Amino acid sequence: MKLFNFHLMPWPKIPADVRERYTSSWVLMPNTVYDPVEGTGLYAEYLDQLVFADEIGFDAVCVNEHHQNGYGTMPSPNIIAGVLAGRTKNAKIAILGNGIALRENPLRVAEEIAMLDVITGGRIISGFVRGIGAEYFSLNIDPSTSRARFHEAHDLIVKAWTEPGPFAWDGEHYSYKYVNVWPRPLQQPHPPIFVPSQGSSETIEWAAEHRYPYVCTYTPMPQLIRYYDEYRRLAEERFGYTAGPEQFGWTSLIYVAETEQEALDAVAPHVRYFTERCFALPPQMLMPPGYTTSGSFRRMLEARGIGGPQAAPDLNAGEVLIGTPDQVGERLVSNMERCGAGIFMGMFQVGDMPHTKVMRSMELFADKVLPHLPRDAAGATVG
Amino acid sequence: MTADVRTTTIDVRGTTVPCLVGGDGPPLLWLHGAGGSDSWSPAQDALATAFTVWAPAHPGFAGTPLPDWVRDVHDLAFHYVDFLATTSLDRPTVVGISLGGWIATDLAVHRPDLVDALVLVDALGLRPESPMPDLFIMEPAAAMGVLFNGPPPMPPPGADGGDPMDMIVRMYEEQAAAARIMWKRSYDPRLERRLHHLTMPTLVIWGGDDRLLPAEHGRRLADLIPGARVEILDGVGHVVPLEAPDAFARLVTEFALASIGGPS
Repeated sequence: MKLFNFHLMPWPKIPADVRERYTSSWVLMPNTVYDPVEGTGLYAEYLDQLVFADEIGFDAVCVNEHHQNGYGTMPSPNIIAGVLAGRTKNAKIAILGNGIALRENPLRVAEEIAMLDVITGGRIISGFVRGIGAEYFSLNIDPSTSRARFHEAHDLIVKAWTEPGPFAWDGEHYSYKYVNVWPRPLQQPHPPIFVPSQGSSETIEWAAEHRYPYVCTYTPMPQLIRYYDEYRRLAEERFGYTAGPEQFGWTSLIYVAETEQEALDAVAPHVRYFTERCFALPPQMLMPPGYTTSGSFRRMLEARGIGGPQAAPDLNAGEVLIGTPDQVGERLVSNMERCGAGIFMGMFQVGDMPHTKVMRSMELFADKVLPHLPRDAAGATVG
Repeated sequence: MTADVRTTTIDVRGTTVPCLVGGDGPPLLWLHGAGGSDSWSPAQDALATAFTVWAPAHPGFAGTPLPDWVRDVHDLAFHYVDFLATTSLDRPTVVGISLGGWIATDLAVHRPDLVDALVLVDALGLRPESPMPDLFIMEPAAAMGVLFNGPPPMPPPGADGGDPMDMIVRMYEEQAAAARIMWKRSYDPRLERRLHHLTMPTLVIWGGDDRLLPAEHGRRLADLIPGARVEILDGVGHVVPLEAPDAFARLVTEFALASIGGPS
């Protein structure tokens, strides 16, 4: 398997009454809640965690894009990737991903990823996402055009990476007289494209068609298996190939301690912080109009019931990876086998979990779990 | 009275338009707002005593798919140019409510020759003096509090025996159709310079307690339209035809009957 370290870089001081006070920790929570002085130290710690993951032999470190919120403080994931480019040596840098539908000028993404790919000697994985619903408020993009913009931006970026420029692009949402990306990416035909998603059937089909590795986050295991089975079925029946484990990622919170109780106690308050504060997102912000199809909207509504509570993100889909090194190692392998995933994306930091706790767990993981995991051959191409 | 109302489906250059038609008299084109498109309201019923009321659903409303060609308000304005040609409606009185008021304004700015008289009701379109509340980010109850002065004058989803799930999904679809026009900004900064093209008789009706766009905005809109008259209804919120159907219908009827055949 491949080991990825997945980080959100959350803000650890969202007030407990964030829902009552601001409705959400996204868009409406004032940025005076953010303290830039503390932010400097926090970025340094979060970066140290990812650099440590590289040192202990992770295959990749993951960063991602979120706007105007306390859930993840990386509005520009490519900047964090640029910092990691200089501080990591072997790990791939997986940007999961750039919110290309949110960009007024997606050619900038093509340029920045190409730069990063050249600078890192080809260590970039380029995820593409539509962005969370709330981000359509933050960047003032009409969510009813989200899917069309995503597809067109993707087509444009891939063409900019793979076909000699200059060429003209005359699309529905973007137009350019000159597409001629300098530098162009080192990896050929282009950096691997990953598709993180919440399991919409449209995205599963699109990812399967393009053979892009697919990663479903926060999704309970039985549902996740249905999504991955659907991808495998479409690959086999419609697109004429067999989708292997390298095409599926599985994400989970992970925490290792000497005893199971110690691990559970260590994690509990931070999971609560994540669910209650980081993910304070009312339905109308999570699913703005047109962000999803009316069919998907109906399925979601039926699942939670009218006026019912929104499903909390599932941080430990499958057997919970919180426990002793033996427990975590065994469950990790069995979960990966259950869903047929070849890429494990471990979230070692969650919510307001402080640096020392994260490092304690990662060090134990490096000593006691990692050496026993079935790893892919070194140097094998990811994605 | 209760008018005889029929539902017809009109093919406007390949776009299927469900349309309620009721009443008898000179034609009146009713352009609905961002909510509510497929029920016949008491205000329409009152107008039907003097007019043949045509109430089409905008593309993407009333269960119709949102076409890709809808990108901004101008597409809907020209859609109604085509609608008038398809239905052979001859110079109707055009009544536009809220989002429909913006479409009506844009239609009349581009094609004043097609509109006999114009009624703009708490209309969007003109740049507001201060930022409008964002209805899209609000919880439904909070949005209702902005739209109505008091409890919403219509039943909640499911109260009339329909499947509440169907109604909520329909509202989600209609909000997406409204987002296509209103999300980026719910006005057109170019409109102010174009309002002098509205040479037809124009009546601006506004709720005195409109919390989305205050009555002052309605007065300013009327000031910018040559010869326009403004009527502010005290104690009424944003959705005037639902909150004050009788007073509203009386104003429209008197104004439009007096305008028929007048100068354009």
